[in-house]
Amino acid sequence: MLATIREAWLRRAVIAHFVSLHLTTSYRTKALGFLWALLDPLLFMGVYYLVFGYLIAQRPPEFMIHIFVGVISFRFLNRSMSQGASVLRSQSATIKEIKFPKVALPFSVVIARIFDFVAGWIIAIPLAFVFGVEPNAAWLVLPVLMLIQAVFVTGFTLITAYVGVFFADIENILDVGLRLWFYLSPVLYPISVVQDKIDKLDQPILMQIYLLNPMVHVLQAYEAPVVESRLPDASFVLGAAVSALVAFTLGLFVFTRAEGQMAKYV
Amino acid sequence: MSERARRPGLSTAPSAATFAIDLSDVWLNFHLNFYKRRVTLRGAALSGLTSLIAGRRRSAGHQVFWALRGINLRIDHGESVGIIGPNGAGKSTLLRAMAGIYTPDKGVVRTDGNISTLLSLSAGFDLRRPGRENIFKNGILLGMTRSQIEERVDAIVEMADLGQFIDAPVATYSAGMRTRLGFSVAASVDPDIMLIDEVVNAGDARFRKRVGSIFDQLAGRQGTVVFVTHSTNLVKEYCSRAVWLEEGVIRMDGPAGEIVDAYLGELNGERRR
Repeated sequence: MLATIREAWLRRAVIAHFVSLHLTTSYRTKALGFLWALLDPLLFMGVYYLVFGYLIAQRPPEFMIHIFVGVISFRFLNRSMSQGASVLRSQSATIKEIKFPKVALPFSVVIARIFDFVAGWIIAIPLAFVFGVEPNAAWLVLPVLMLIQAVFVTGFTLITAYVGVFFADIENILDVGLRLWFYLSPVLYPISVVQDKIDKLDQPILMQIYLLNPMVHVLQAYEAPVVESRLPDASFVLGAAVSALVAFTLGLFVFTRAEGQMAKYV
Repeated sequence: MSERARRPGLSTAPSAATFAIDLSDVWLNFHLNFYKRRVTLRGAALSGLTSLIAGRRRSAGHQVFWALRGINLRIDHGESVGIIGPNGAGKSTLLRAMAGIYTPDKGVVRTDGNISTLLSLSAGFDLRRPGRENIFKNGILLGMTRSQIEERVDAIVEMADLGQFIDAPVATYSAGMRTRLGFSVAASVDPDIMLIDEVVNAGDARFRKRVGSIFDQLAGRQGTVVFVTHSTNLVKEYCSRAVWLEEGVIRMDGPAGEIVDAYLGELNGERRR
């Protein structure tokens, strides 16, 4: 597995090529080009503001920034995993033609999606002001958290890329699975809602189960600096980091093991 | 497999290894189920469950096709080898195994030196993008850096004889033009080993002459060429040695003229019968 990483590093020109390919298909073909990376989060925030600020609930403004950060983080995961599932098939002609480290493909997907993710954070700063939260020193911890999430997302993308080579229905399953995962994570509701419900049931074990979802840790780690202007709890950062390392190691393991068979079946 | 073989780089001169390509008892299979109908996770889960209940490891109807069945082949530095045989003999699979694109299911493939491939008429090009962009794409995948390609791009265009068409999408190219471009990029890597699949035929006489001179240059610096073709004339023209493959097994291996004659002899014999 270390050899895979080393090879990917030596052939980073290949990764760079695919990153620019993904970014081209996402943006350059469109009239507004890379502006979409900034417009896209603004537009979906408009929709969430309409729904959660007016239509079904009048949530306080700082809750809006909670939703925004949750949604951009989840979109990073979601888009990487679903694009990862099809990326090897989409390059099948190249894979059958020239030998190159195939791990470059899922890696390039994640890097291209980091671009959108960072664009989302650039929008988050003025948005925080609009919703009455002032960016502060605690925000400096955000790049570290983003890096942890990027490792986490890479692990899951390696897994979908591997499964996507051999199984045709992964995209349907992924679609449903990711939606479920999204609603099971505290994005459209604060984690306190879950805590209250569980307290009423008087079953503390349920909270332990809820916390098994690694995205809860990732999102809660972002939550502290962004909404509450304080450093995140060590337990959430640790939970996020451990799940990131486990996901990455597992993903790299299954992908590397099957790499030799992939050219036959893409 | 040697470290250098796994990582195609540039201008690594052949080392002291006595072979360029060495295959020992190479077996390679395809699981036909992955082609016949799309395999689904749902299906895999169901059949996994049934075989668990029935106590069998593999569900019935799981078909495996062995495309290569125990290939032993050693090719030395400086040799040019033609691979001939009927359709479905495993020629392209053999070439992909040599390139490291397919990993053998049994046996070992070892190579020495950097490898350049041209395995299909489309050469892995992105048809919607212009030829020039595809030079960079294939060049990078073959192990060159951007600046190395920039240095060579004019020579590549010149050799491919594409002129102004280099900035038109590859989709607008004829088969001959695509082949010329693919071959020129593959040759520009200064490979120690070139693996070429049934594409040289698409070029015209002028281009075939250029291919011949590239092969001569390669042989001059102890480079190796392996190519698959149905044109036995090309084998006689370019190759010192020929390998006759049939149903995944080497039927004959020897001097090009001799093997081609034997192969043609059998074909004619069949025709007469």
